[in-house]
Amino acid sequence: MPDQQNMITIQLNGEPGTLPEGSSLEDLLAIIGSEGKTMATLVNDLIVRPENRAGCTIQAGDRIELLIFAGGG
Amino acid sequence: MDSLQIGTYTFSSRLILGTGKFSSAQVMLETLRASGTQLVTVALRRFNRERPGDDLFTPLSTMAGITLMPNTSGASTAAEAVQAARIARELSGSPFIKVEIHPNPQHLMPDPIETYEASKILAKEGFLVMPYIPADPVLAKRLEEAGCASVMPLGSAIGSGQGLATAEMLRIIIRESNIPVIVDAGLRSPSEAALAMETGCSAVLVNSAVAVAGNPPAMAEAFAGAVEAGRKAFRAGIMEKSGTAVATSPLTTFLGPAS
Repeated sequence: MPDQQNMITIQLNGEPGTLPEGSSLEDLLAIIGSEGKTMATLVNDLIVRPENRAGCTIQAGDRIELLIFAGGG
Repeated sequence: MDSLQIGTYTFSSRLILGTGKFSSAQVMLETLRASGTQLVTVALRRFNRERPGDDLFTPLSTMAGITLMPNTSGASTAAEAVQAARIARELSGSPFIKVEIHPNPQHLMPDPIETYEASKILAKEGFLVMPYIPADPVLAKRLEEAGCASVMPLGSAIGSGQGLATAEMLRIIIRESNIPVIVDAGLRSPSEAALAMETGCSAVLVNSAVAVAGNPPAMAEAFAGAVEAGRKAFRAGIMEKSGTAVATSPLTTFLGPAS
């Protein structure tokens, strides 16, 4: 159960957040409800491709960026 | 066929559109369709689940015949722009990158030094680099030598609607350039786009003038017509200016008294 798990603190898009220990980047996307959205993911400034998200375990203190395409000229 | 060639890409439309400032994704899509554009800019932004409408990738991917040109807006150094370009390529799958580095939000003038440094690196990495630059002929030539696919000098400040304030410098850049010159930023009305094309620009990039118009799809259509007219005029060969009148009708009198 999530409430029995240890939680870790991360930086998500510049804001502090918590995540169950052992979560992958793919788990994180599911937790925040962004599955299916086309976005770029970075962990500590390194790009993690979609096929590598499930195998990317988030560590305490990691800086995670989720980026999309928005309007711009 | 008179098409715009950039790298291995061929475009029949010479109107490039930005996707900022539209009232909705629906209006943006209608506008893109009306314009006939084939190359469209987008910006990177942090995902925010409170604002699902920010995401333009999903609506844009429903449109056939559109190539994305992400920009590096938000970067204030070459290193940041290079990182943004690499992220954008992961997301878009497109080799196009609009290098846009403007450190001062007051005037949004591109930083020529950081832009040059970033463009040089990205060209080596195989990007089709389209730098947004001040209308500086020396910088434009240096960027061409660095391997850029085009140069995109500004007509005037982003979103200002001041038109072709840099017209004289643009003429020099066009004359000296062996790569497409695309006027980016500052255009307010279709006549300015036509004038840019008559001057010999290869394309124009428009965003605000279309997005904030009363009827964006109609304005996009007007810009498309102007770009086409200006291009046709340029290719047809525009007459030279003369300091004096040159008659178009015979000046011999025929109603005067018989001699």
